[in-house]
Amino acid sequence: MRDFDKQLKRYGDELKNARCPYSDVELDRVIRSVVWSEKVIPNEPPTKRLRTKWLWPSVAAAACLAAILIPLNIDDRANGDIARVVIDGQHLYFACNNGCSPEGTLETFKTMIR
Amino acid sequence: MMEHDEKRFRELIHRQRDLIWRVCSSYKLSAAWTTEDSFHEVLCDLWQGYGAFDRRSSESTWVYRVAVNTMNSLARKKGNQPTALPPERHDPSYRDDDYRDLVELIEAMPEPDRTIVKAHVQGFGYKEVSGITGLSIAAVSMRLSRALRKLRKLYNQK
Repeated sequence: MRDFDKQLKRYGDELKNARCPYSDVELDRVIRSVVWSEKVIPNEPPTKRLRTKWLWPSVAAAACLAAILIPLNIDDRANGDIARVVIDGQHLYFACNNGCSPEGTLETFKTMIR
Repeated sequence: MMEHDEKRFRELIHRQRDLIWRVCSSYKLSAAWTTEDSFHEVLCDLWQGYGAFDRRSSESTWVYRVAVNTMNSLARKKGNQPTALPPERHDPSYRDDDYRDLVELIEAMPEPDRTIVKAHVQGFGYKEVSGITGLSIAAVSMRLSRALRKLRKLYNQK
């Protein structure tokens, strides 16, 4: 007979021992991104969130691309379209408030810089 | 949201970061979803719900409830089901057959039993699990007892 209680305790211990890997600074950056995405349109939270991310080979490369993309933010409130780019280290995140998929938003931004 | 809300929210997330990570990492989603992605999703939901948090339940119970709801919602969405074991399941301990069998049985449990068992093994009491699931304390007690009995039986049969 296998030891159910022992394995169940081990499962609980492993869950309890899981630790968030973010440093304080990294966590603050993530929280700022989340709060910022909500501020894009107050009272109308984005239905698609900081989901689609685009990994770049370095922080510098991501920052350079962000400098190009961020001023291109789609802002067409009459049609309910607001899409933004958030930079977080080597990642660029794409957030939008309407029915666009995050992948679609990423493609839109890619098209805009071609 | 006011500036002071943002500050309080940031402090709350710093206090509860391990709890949130724990919930996120305990779910198996498709390879496209890292624990980091899930963590961001949960933070978005926490921020959106923060203004309505009435403190009738403890802070950790509220955070756990939102995290579980977010993860269950993600797990239900088409295309988010796992196609292969996520990387964290490739650790040496997971190769232990007895342990792996139990984890797989727990992950295959229906809701809300899975949430109840996971919360129980992490040390949440009946009252807290009641706050997480929205079930009465008596219902939590009954469901937990039944779920553990069934889990034990399935485990010993496997």
